[in-house]
Amino acid sequence: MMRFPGLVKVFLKHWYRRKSTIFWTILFPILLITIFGSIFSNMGQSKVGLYVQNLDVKDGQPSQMSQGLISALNSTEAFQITLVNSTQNLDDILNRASNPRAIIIHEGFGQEVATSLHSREASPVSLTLKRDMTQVADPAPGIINTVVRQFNTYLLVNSTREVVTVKEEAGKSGFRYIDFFIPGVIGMTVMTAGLMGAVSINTEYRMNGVLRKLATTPLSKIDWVLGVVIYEIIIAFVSAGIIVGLGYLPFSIFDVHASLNLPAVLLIFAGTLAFPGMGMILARFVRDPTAADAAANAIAFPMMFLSGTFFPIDMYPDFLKPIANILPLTYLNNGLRAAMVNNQPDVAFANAALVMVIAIISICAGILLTNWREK
Amino acid sequence: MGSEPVIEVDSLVKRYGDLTAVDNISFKVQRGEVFAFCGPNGAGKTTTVEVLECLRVPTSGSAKVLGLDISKRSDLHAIRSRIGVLPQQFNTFELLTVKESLEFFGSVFDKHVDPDELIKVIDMAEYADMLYKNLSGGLKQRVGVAIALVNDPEIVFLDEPTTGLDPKARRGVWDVITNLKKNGKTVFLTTHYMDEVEALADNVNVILNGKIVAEGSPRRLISKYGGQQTLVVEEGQVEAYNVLKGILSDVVMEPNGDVLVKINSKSDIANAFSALDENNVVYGRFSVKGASFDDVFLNLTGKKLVEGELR
Repeated sequence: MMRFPGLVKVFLKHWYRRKSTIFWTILFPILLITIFGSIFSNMGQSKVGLYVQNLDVKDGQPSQMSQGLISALNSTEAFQITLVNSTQNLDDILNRASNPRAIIIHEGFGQEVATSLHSREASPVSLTLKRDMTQVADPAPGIINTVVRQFNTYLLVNSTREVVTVKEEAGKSGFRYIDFFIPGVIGMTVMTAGLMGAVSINTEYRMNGVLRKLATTPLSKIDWVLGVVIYEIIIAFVSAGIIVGLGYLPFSIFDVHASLNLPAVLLIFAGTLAFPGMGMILARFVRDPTAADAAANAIAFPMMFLSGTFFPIDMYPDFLKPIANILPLTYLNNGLRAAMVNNQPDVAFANAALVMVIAIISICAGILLTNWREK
Repeated sequence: MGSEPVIEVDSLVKRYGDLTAVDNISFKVQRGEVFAFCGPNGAGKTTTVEVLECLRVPTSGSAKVLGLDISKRSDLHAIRSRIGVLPQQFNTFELLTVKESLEFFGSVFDKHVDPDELIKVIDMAEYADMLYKNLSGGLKQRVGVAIALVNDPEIVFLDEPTTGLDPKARRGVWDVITNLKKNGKTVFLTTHYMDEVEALADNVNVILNGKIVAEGSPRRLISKYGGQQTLVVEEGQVEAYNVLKGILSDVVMEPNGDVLVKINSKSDIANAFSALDENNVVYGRFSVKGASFDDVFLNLTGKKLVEGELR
């Protein structure tokens, strides 16, 4: 007879009746995203630097259409425009720039716009905007889009059809900061909920005698461990679901269309198995609830910062990198990023497999080390 | 009461490092009786009961519960399914209501009693939807007893069920225990309250330093170890003390003015009464107090047992 479902129900009731657990599992991650999101998005300046590489040049003369667009951008007075000629390597310039941001007007742009104006079926002509996507609230795309919209209106007079569109490209990092951050927050939530949750459940119920009472019933220690772990899995998915779901809200500040796809689900599942297992191991050796909580914090917080939750591990000083490489949360974070925003399922599955191995080892150790009958 | 033993303990020893908590004890508990295990804190009561509840592994010796061997892994599940336990300093999930707690513990057993019925047994219908953490100590303890009954057990272990409760709450728990006995349950009760033993137990084992020092029914132990009856002259003051001191040997006056006299023969009572009358001594009540289980303890150990401590 499976006895753990009743236990899961009991833990869930405690979860929603105890306001502090709701805070840590749901509100805290949202708060973190909001705070970090705003800190890293407000790094703009009054005039935004913009490189413009105009490749639509014939006999040394820029086309009229491209020239018109550059004038339009200039007229906003929002940009400090630096022209880059076709012989210069734009990527090199961007890599050296403190605010890498460039508009590329490709060859034949003027001609394509002219063609598009005369044909209703023609697809819009795109401009390329390269920028540092870690800048969460870069004002440039918004201004450029407004300019382009006005440019369209000017060209077409009474039509709402798009002639020119802006296609964004990463000018430096692979993705925006918030894209980087959201999977990290999910990883962090899985880790803290699992580790701290398991530690506090195990020490609290051992201390107040509930475990001893349970041990006199047919409930086995395997039921207990499964109950704790399945409860943590449910909570982790509720948190992750809410964080991801917020990104899809129209008014959302998160604006990340991260997806809870199969590898992401597998990773969260493996992570929620791995961390409660570690929590139970810890709870076995540190018996006093306060000391155990402190020990869990002492593990969770450094791990949070060292596992690339908030910043890419590449940015860490060299002596920290090997530490990041032995922390399970690193693999969970890397996997979640690969799965949710980078669209690299193979990388995600590889990380999921690794986290699953850690999970199996820690759960087995957790079961073996949980004392149901004292010697 | 039948004569079928439901618990058989033989030469049980439990050591923690150098400390011998339970030192080679043997006893039997018969089906349907209230069996009390009585002794001061640290005597080995809880260790013994936790061995029987399959919470601790004994160092040596054997114990059978309902004919099943507590040392056999394969018997543990069957034992746990058929016993009910109120552990010492009982606690349950604090954010569950009384009814939810009973439902949860019921769900853990294959066979279980309807929670509403149990709530009636402990007389807590009006508290059924109250969170456990908001209950008073006495009510919490009653919930603990109800949880111990959730699987309709054959043996109910109650480890110090009334420690820390006020007199009214203790009575409430006693009533529940009395009803258990009426319903044919075997109750294994550990306690350091002598009045509890007298009021509830059919049989008692007194345990001291891990060894059983006396066993039998409370009445038999009182007559064996309780010593003499005492004559009490309430508020007799110095006058009564002086008069009685003149004719009887073992007279003391308590600080509250009561005068106590140890009675050696029935004629002592008549003599004391007429002496007080002849000297026109004014006093409250004149009564004879039988020996109590307190005296058993005092005579066995030379000390009084107060809140679990020998003094």
